Amino acid sequence: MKSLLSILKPNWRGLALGGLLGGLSLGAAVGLLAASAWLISMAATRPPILVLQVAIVAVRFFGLSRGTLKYASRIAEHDAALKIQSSLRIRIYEQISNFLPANFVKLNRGNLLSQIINDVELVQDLWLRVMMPWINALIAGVCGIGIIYFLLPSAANAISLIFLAAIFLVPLAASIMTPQHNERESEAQLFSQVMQVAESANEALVFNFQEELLQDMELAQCNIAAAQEVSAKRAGYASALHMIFLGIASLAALYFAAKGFIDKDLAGVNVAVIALLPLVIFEGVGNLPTAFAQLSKIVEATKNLDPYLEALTAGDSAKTSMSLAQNVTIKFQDVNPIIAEANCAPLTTTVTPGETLIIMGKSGSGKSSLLNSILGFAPFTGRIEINGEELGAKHKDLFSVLLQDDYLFATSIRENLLIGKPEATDRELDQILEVVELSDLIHKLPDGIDTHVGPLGYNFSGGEKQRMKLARLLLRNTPVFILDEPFEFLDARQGARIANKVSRILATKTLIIVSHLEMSIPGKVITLINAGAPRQD
Amino acid sequence: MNKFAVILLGSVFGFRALISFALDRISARASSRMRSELRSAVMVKTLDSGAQDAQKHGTAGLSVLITKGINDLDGYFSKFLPQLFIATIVPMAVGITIASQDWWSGVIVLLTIPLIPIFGGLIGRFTASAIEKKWRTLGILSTYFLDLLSGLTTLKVYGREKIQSQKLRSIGDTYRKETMGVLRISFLSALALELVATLSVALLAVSIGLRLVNGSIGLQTGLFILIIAPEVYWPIRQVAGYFHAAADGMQAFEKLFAILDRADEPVGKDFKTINAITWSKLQVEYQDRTSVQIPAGQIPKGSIHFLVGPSGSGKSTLANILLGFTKPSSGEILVSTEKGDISLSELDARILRSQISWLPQEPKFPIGTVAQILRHAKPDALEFELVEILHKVGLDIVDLPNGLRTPLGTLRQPLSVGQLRKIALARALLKECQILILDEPTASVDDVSESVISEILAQKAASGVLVLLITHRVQGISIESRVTDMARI
Repeated sequence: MKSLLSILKPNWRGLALGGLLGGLSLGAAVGLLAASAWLISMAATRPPILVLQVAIVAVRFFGLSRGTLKYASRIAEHDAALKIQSSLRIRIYEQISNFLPANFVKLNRGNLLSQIINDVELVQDLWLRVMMPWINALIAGVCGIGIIYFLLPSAANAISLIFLAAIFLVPLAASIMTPQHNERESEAQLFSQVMQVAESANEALVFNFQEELLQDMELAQCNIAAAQEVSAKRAGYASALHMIFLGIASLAALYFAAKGFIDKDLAGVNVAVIALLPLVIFEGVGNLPTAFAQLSKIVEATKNLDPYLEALTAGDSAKTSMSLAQNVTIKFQDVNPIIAEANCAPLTTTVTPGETLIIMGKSGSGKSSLLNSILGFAPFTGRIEINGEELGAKHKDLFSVLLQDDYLFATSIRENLLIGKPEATDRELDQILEVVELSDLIHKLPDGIDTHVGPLGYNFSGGEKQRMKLARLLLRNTPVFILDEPFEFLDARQGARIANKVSRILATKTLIIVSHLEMSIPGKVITLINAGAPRQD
Repeated sequence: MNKFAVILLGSVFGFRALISFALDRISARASSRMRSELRSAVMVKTLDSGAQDAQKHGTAGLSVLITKGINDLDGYFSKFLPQLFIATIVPMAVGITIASQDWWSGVIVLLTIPLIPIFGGLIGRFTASAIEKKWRTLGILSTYFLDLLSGLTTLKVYGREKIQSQKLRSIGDTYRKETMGVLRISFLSALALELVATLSVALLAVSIGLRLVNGSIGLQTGLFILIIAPEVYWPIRQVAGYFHAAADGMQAFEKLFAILDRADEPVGKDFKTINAITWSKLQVEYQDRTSVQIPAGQIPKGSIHFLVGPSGSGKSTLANILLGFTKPSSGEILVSTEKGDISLSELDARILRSQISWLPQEPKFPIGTVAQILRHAKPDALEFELVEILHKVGLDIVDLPNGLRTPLGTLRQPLSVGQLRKIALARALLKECQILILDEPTASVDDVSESVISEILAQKAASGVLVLLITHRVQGISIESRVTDMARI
């Protein structure tokens, strides 16, 4: 709860405005009922019509302002809540992007997405459906009891006691039963399952595991249904209790009004006013159980979100400062990534500007782990030196990296390339696409370089995507380039052609290439072998 | 005081408490059950047609539709539907009660009641398009989020993660504006309906007030009518209110029913053995892609067919056609079975798929351990069999963090891309099949494993399996093989 609230900056002005307007609207409702009850009772005594005129105007005024104020308050409240929601979403994203991807690994995508979208929406409810109903119920209560107090103080005491009891007991009774299953957790689980199903649906048809997927989902659904059953029971108890309190208050009001009339403490025209006021006073109480249930849902949501947020805030958010070095020499001394799968002997070597280090080995031999060590994503033993300094976060900006699971975003080719160099001109983009031999294809597409990549865009093949990623990387201008399996999915001839061009373009850079295939370009080759010493050719 | 009246009033409140308890419980339970049944039905249907829906709505879009979309129907099932029922009974009952006390007020009620549904209907027509727009923005928003999170590592490596939060802000703003647009209309319609109801009650009040003043009606009757008059309009107003809450869900309804109403795959011709596959020149039209052409070819029993070509020439398309995921716009595939040559489109897709094993270019796994996933291909496989096949494709069991119990199927598996591809390859090789389709089996595999794999494929082919190998480099292989070169078109 703490970490969520700490990153939540409510839009107080909007909320205060909404609360004020909402309160006024309820006040108008109280006024409407009081004025009309008085008006009818007064009319029955057949006074001159002028006496009624004031009350008639009051009834009209309250009647129109109730609706209008309610409209205005709802607009103000919702706008404020949506603003909170949007800034919360951004802040959560910023938190996540601040910490190392190594921590991100632990997060399950389906869960995370579902939590961000749904929990953020729930937090909007914290104000709209939790705080506001309480504030509104209190305002209506205070207005109505105020009028009663003005007319008949003895009745006001009793009714305020009943009112206080109701606003505490009704939500409390609703909360006595706590759900056994965490509804939000089950929902998040269901979301990631559905996501998984959607992704592996074609494979499910071929390998016939649809039944298994459906069974897993049924389980999550059962948990959700059980939790919903409990909340339904709660809502039922609460609304029954609300009715009971309303009944008690109405009877009490009747009793006091009758007694006051008999004792001549209360004018006859005001009897109906007091007898009917509990109906509006308790109107707001009816919303409290939902507000309370909502609150417990929000608490659950924050409990789910908390570990993530804590993990996120605990991450390394060291500011990186651009290092101005143009020529970088990387020295590896007894470097060995700490990871279960890789079991190779430590690596010792040096790469200087203009040199190419080619790291080879079969998959699982620790190539990727070694790469992650250089990038600071994975821990390692030994020492990596950058121009004589120990490798640290500040060196990040010296590297340009082609990751094996590099990502192309679901946007245009241009936008994707601009991630490499935001200020690149069209000419530059064209040139780089020429290098990776994508130029002809892209020129043939109706939208050219603005064609979309991704599920809803053009259906690019694996090799085309790989070359696009390579183009994006080559747009960068950093002293070090690290390429992980850069020519995967390309046929041998094309791979060799592009490799030669890449090696020419990066001739002055410090280049590290990781590959499981022989490279056609010159360089210092190191082969990693599992459980053995690296061999230097 | 009249004790009897007090007791009666008390018991009316008690009864009402009981009723509202029952209403809340029953409607919530029914809604929960209906949503869960709907969800299961949609899931079964969507699984039946492979990745079709995921491609149409996007993976995140489909997941949001099935979870949040169906949850949003709660408003429809637990509020709107019961209220619709209430609205048909309560106003009538109250109206009759009013008329029985004072027929003139009854006439006013009768005349004013239709105003609310008329106004409500007018406003409802007005809002429909705005709500659809909001739903679309929400879809974009969630797809964008998933995209951003999936590519976070890339963004970080490029040092561009900060810029994206601005984009997020602008999308969030658009979403807020569109949502506010919808809310403004629905709040305004609530206001209009409330004013109509207030005016109607005021009409009643004026007539009662005037008659009270001239003494033609008693205070008791007047008060009674005024107290219960709002109950005539309230249930109908509430329908309108719930309609807007439910309208959010209604948008999801349309998409869900588009999935549910889709015709099942027709039951096609049954067969036992496949002897060969022959295809004429095939053409496939993609939505905005220049169409893909595949030259005619044949895979007879006992041979390996290579489908080669530069990246982007449409090699994977043939696999998609054979699996039934894509339909060619021209050309035909003939499968020769023990019952003679049958067109692929006439064969039963389920039976055919049960005879195909497949390594997709970008394999995806459900949540489960390595062992569970491999056993999808061969349910009765022994553990040593799994270890052996993994070893053959170049993945040693000791290289997996938790051996066969290493979990798969999350965004960031603890395994490398190469290891994942090998597990998928092992799965493809494990399945007993008559057709084996491998899409780039040697990507991220070293030379040693490559020759082992070639050997396995040769054995498979020799034992009568039709092997289709989609690759960018042709390997020397010890068995008769054919090549279709996509580059030659």
